[in-house]
Amino acid sequence: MSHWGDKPVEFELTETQKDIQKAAREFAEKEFDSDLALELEKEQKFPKSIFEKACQLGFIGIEYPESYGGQSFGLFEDILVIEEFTKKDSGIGIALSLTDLGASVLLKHGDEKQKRELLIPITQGKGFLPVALLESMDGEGQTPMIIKRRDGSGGYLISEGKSWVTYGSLSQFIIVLNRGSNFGLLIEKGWKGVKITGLKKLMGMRISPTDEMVFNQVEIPEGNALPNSMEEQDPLSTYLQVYRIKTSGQALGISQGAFDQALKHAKEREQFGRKIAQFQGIQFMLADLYTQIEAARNLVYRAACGYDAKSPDLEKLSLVTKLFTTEVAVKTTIDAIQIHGGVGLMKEYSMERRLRDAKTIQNLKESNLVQRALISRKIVSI
Amino acid sequence: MEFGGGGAHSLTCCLVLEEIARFSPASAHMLAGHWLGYTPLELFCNPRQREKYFPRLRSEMAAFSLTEPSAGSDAGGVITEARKEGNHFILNGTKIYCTQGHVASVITVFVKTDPQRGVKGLSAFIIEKEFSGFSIGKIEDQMGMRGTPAAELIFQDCLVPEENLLGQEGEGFNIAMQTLDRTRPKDAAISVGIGQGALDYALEYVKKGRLMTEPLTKSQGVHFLLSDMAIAIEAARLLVYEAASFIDEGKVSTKHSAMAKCFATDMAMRVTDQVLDILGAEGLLGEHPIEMFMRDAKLLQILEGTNQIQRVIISRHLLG
Repeated sequence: MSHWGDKPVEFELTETQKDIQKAAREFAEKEFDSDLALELEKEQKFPKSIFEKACQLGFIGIEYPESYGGQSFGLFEDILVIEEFTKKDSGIGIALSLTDLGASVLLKHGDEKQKRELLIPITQGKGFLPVALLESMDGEGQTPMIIKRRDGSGGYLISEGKSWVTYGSLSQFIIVLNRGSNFGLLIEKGWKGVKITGLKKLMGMRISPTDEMVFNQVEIPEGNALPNSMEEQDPLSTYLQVYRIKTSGQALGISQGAFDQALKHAKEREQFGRKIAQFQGIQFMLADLYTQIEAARNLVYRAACGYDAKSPDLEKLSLVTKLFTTEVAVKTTIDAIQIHGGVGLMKEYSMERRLRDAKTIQNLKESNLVQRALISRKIVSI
Repeated sequence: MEFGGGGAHSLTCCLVLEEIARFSPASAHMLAGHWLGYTPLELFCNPRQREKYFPRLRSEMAAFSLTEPSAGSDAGGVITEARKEGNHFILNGTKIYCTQGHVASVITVFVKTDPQRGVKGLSAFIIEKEFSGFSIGKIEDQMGMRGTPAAELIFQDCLVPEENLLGQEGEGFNIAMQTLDRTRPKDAAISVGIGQGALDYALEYVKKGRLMTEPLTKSQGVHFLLSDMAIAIEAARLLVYEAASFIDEGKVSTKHSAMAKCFATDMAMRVTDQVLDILGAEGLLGEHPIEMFMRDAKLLQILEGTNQIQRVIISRHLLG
């Protein structure tokens, strides 16, 4: 058996991992109501009752240590859950998997007290932990500053910046990160200078309400900085890598779910006296989608294992994974609608929602052009 | 022209649709839906029908209805039936996905007059919205072209005078196919408009947007994307103009109409997807029209014969 970091390479799920996958699948099958998701989407509301049940069953925070209310598994097991969730319903699956994006940052860079105070409530369904990645107000790409205050307090100051924050309005605590600096700051929404300026109506992901937040002269006490920010990895890299891998898990689930539905439809739908799955034109479409989804799965699983094994090359791998899997998700959903024909276009069927969700997760934080730019920087060094 | 229309040729119609679709694909779809309903009348009306319906269609909408739950790609699957009784036909059944069926006054409907004979049992009828036994069912909550939704048409012992039979009994499939040969370039023209509108929008955005910290105008990745889009749009446009010109010259080419529809609608899907990538997170907001354009493009890949059906038609012509 070969090893990769601390993990043996087996390409097979363990019995425990299979159990987690099965439990997640059964939970999603039983609880994820697509009609409800469609209703919630109109009002841009979060599926609260489903979230609470998922917490009770230990799906949220599965990767946290038991001492913080989790199950002591890793990102890989979390990805297995996300895949099953988004496979059943793209919107509900994404919504549940974005509730604690800041947790990975806290787990790696936070102190005991911060972890205990924030992570345990999440696993009980009582809290969220979003991340605000600051941008400059004018969008000109200049890095806004988080500075260390010079008044001897040891605290920090966010001079000015804005960010789209999923669950910004639902959460008390928010982790603020900034490109170009190693600080991770834990702030509270009620603080002076923190403002929610509006709910964004996005193409998809509408049951994961995303708000624009503005930060202006926000003073942060020393105790709210993540103490381990200067370790070998900065909080921003941790966040982005986990974000990319989780997004890839969502893209994988969305693709697999779309494919499964398209295959089912093709095997049931009759035209010209036979099932449309008997036409080779449809068969080849299905074969292409299947091939790409398999490749996507291998990338996502490898990246998630790499994170758990502290693989040194994760920056590039997470970029490649997100670029590929989200493109597969968009292509798969477009083609799955095509195989369905007219019915695939109708809202009540939720295939079109899958496409909108896929396109949204692809470009919401780092667009696929940004992914390409970052990958090319990594592979071409002139 | 004698009934007050513009007497427009196919190419002219395509130019009009293209320009409208650059800004509002659903408005173009509305116009195309009207022409789709009107084309079978233009081709097959007898003088009395012409006299009766053409003046009305100067100010009222027409629509076209072939699809049923069991008849999507396969028109032979139609089960809505017309039974002859005296000097009337009695229609029973349900049609779906009829573009603007709920706002049209005159609808060309394809139903079975001989249920045993597959597509050979299809006949076309001119339905007026006032006919007794005709009603509108569900109006679809659809992904794209939401400004011009499709509707369900319900026929419950709908009484249709025999003089509203269009063409001959059993000629329905031929009428439908001849119509689609002439209207597919129009869907393709809408797609060219969508592609051009999206590219124009991208070019404006590129002037001020950034990729990370670099201006988009300096990104060669973006330059190449824009070039690919422009090539695809121009190629689609020429295919549309060619197919439309064949129609105007009286040399209707089923193959070219199918090629134009398939290529241009696939192009519109790809181009809108790529423009969204250039716009990044901004593009996901409804304030920018591109995500709507993308949803509109998806409909065009499916309606009036899915692009798989277009490929079936094209390959049949290639292989003889």
